[in-house]
Amino acid sequence: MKCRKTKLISACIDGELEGEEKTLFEAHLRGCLECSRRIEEIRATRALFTNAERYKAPYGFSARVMAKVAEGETKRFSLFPLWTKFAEVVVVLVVITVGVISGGFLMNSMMGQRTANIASSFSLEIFEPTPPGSLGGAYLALMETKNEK
Amino acid sequence: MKSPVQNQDDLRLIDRFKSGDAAAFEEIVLKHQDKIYNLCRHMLGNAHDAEDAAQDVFIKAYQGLHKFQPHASLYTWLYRIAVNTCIDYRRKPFFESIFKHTEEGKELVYDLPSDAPSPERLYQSKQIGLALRISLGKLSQKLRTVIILKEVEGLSYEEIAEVLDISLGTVKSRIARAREELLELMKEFREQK
Repeated sequence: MKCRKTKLISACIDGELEGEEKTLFEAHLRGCLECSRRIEEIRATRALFTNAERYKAPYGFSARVMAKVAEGETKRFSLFPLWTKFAEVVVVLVVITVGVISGGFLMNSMMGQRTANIASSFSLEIFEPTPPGSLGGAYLALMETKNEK
Repeated sequence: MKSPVQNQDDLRLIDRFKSGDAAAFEEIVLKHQDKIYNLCRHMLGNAHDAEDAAQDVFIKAYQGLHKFQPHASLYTWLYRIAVNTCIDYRRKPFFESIFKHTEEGKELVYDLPSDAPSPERLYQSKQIGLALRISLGKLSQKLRTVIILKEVEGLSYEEIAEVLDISLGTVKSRIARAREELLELMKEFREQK
């Protein structure tokens, strides 16, 4: 049967037990074969880590990091002209849109005058031999006025 | 939670970096590169991935250092980035990392202690080291991380709690569980031999 105190083994190994808890567990260890065996096994496993290699960063590591950092910075700055180009395109589009809209307004205001011109263009008076505005028309009008007198 | 003591050198380097001194960052890299590389090497199991991951750690640190708050210590902050990077980085299973590909096929790799004196001792330490690495590889990500931080990096419970952003109680229980599971896995490995 597993001793309930085995959960304290790890903290005991790391010196994390204090005061009464520590005293009681140390007393327990002297009487509990399971816990005393377990603590030795865990200590032995821990000892394997002391032989674990401590790896050092490979030669030139920091230089490679700094080169990557610089590369990242360059990319960040190279995005700036891209944003400028994007802004230029937006400005051109705005100018075109404003032009189209104001052109539409101008067209609407000129439409009345233009309609009158078109109506006069289609008037049948232009087909008369002496239209009212012509020299012949003025002469005929003068003559008509003279005959009436 | 008691916070690990902030290193004054690190604070000065951070201040220099924040005021635009790029050379200060290189000093930070030089100061912490071995710790970070060692952690990545043990977390990922092979040199190539470890270097890539360690480089990523410092690039992320460079991008985030302007926002770094000195209530945390720089090395625990770097460890936190390293742990998260390694977790994201595990593109292949852990046990794969103990093999290298040779012309004859896959060959077991174990980094031997440099002072191994005899072929028998070499063989023994190779077997033990291999057993340890395979057993570590079988632990869950959470337990493996906590045990590497404790046993390989030698961090205190408080430091581990800060790196992983978990409570002291969780650190204690994870370390205890990791040791228990590791012990059982090592026994299984020996019985299979």
